[in-house]
Amino acid sequence: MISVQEKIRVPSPPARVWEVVSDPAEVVSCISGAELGEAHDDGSFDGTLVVKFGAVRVRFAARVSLELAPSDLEGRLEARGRDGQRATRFTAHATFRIVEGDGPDDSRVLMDGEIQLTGKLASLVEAGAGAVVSRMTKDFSQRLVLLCAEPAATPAKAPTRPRALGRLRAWWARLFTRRRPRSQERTATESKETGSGSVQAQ
Amino acid sequence: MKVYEALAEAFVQEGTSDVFGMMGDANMHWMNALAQRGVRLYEVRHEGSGLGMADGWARAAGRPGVVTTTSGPGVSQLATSMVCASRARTPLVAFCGETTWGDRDAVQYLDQQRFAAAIECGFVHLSRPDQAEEAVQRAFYLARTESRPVMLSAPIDVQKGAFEEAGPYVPSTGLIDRPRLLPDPSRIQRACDLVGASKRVVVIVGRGARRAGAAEQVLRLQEQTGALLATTLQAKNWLCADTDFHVGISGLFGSKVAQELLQEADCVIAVGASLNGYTTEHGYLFPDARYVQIDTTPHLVMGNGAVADCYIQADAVTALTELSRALEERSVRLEGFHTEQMRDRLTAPLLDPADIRREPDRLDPREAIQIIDSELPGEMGLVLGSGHQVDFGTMLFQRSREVLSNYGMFGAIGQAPLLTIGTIVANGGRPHFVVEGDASFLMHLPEFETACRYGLPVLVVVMNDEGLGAEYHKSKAAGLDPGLATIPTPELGSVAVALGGGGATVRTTGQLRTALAEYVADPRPTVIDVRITREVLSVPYRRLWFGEDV
Repeated sequence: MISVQEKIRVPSPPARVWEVVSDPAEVVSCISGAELGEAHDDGSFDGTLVVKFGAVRVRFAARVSLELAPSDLEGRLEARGRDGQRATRFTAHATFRIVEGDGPDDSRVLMDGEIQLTGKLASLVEAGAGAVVSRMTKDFSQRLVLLCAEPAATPAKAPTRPRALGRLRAWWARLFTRRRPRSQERTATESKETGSGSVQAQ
Repeated sequence: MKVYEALAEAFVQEGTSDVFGMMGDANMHWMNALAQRGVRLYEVRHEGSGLGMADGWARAAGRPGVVTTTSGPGVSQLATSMVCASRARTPLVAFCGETTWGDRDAVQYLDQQRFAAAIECGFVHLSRPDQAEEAVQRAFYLARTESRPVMLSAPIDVQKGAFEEAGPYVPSTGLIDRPRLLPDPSRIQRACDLVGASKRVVVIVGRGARRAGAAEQVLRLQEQTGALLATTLQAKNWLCADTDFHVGISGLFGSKVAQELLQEADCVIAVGASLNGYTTEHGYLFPDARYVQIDTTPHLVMGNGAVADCYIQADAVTALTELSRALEERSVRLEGFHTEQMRDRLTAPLLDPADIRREPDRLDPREAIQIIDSELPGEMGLVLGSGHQVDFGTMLFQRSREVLSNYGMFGAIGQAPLLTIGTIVANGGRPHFVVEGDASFLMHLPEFETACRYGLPVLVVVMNDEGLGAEYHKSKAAGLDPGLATIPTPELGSVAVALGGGGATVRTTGQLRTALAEYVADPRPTVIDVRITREVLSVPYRRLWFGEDV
């Protein structure tokens, strides 16, 4: 199991940081090798991620669900999937929270998560997977800082398939429109079906 | 005639010329009978070491090696080396004495059948004097046909019984009639379809291809398909002098360039290579490839858990000849990887001189390997040892020469010098060298004296980091105390001289070159104790433990 505990300093206001981290397309644009796929009716969406373990590239496909609490600037992400060889499965869950940093224009993103790898790859990468995740987290942090520094109106740069992204954005917009009056509630986008094993195999 | 004489005669008829082991009450009569028949006996200092030598002998000779022990404690000493030989699928017969048949109160009694099962070897019991020839024939038959070690367990009272000769002994080879496996024409056509639809072919050769003598056919197919040639670990460096498009080992020990290029393959043709999890990194090394596999085994499941897209059960030479002919008929000729740019990429040095770590009185292990490779002629065979240090040699020895790796055969340290001694005996006393760690070499140090006693020209290069290198680096990675894995060693060059051989402890590249030159000029049992830094982490460890893209 790989644990991720990070405190990322982002020199941008919490509201702007939240705007980014609550948008899957924006988040994906901060992860090297990640792509968004289809959005599903239950609120979950598909994603792919290419990870280099040593010189070996492994493509993972996952179904991801995201649960947001805008009033608390908190979120929870769950992902399950497997790799292109169908030899390794993984589950990941993470919580994140935005808090004010050294002033109103400064934030901290607090991340706490775990990734569980099972199957052939787990023995292949051994302890190295933790180091890979650690480097990916650092890379994500740097990209997040840069993205948050851009004006809010800047279109997202996610390298995704346009149709899938369009559908995802439309669904996201519908969801927020529908839920906004009850914004004091946790914005749940996760259904009971999430994590039932439906993944996009590569 | 006594049974032990009949047994000895049968061993001779099976082709036994060299026997490694240690004499005791329960095998001494048999050993005397062998000596009278001209068989060379190598008295070792530990039965397990003798088995390691017989293992090396068999791997070099391609026929069953023979080790002998007395009863009980002599047998139990075999454990680790026997499992190694079993994992290496070495044909081998262990002639083991046994206490008097049925006497369970004997001091040296051991249930040798159960013990044999636990250490993964076959078992043949000599229960009656009249079964002597049948038992030997059975043991060798199993060793040859199943390619595994077999224990022939003979109670001393049965050995001393009388044997009635019934006629000439029929060696087990007389019972083995292997037909040449010709490829199914439809499979050849299917393979042509796959190759013809590909753009980037990789040919992976294993020890099966090397044993089959398929070099010419492999190179022809490589030329036709513009393929990169890669080897398994067991076939390391095979054909590397015959093509510019040799990418080295496929797997964790492959270079960065190799790993990058192999992932581009859309077709893999494996010849005499099982494509296990090591070679294919469980399939991750060839994410987009389709597989053609040529092997004599009836069934093979690859390391990715799947079967090849086209499996051809056939003799390597015949299958490759047919495949090349069929490709030619269809005018299939691919440029593939055979470009000038690729040639340049493959000839780039594996080690940047600027990266070499210089420390007072300590060598960079990578630089040491490069010096050893350049100073020792290609005719000198190499055996690769164990531990962290072996990674450097496995990746950096580049010269075309016979290479034997024991990696992955039970992961026991200390076996490689034993394998080397056996290899030298099988090869008629031709000099070979082994690169081994300090803890590994010291584990069976007394056998260096065995090599001296028989004048076997083994060169042991000890990559000495004064510790358990693997555990040292793993401890660091795991946040444990690496100091617990350090063990000071005496000057092993002096130890070697005291045991009757040549020796030097070297701390500079100049001293290393001098010591190597002395061995080359006059090959004799020699130890070169190379003091290396612990500050250089091997590429496989950097990949495995730190996920580095190196």
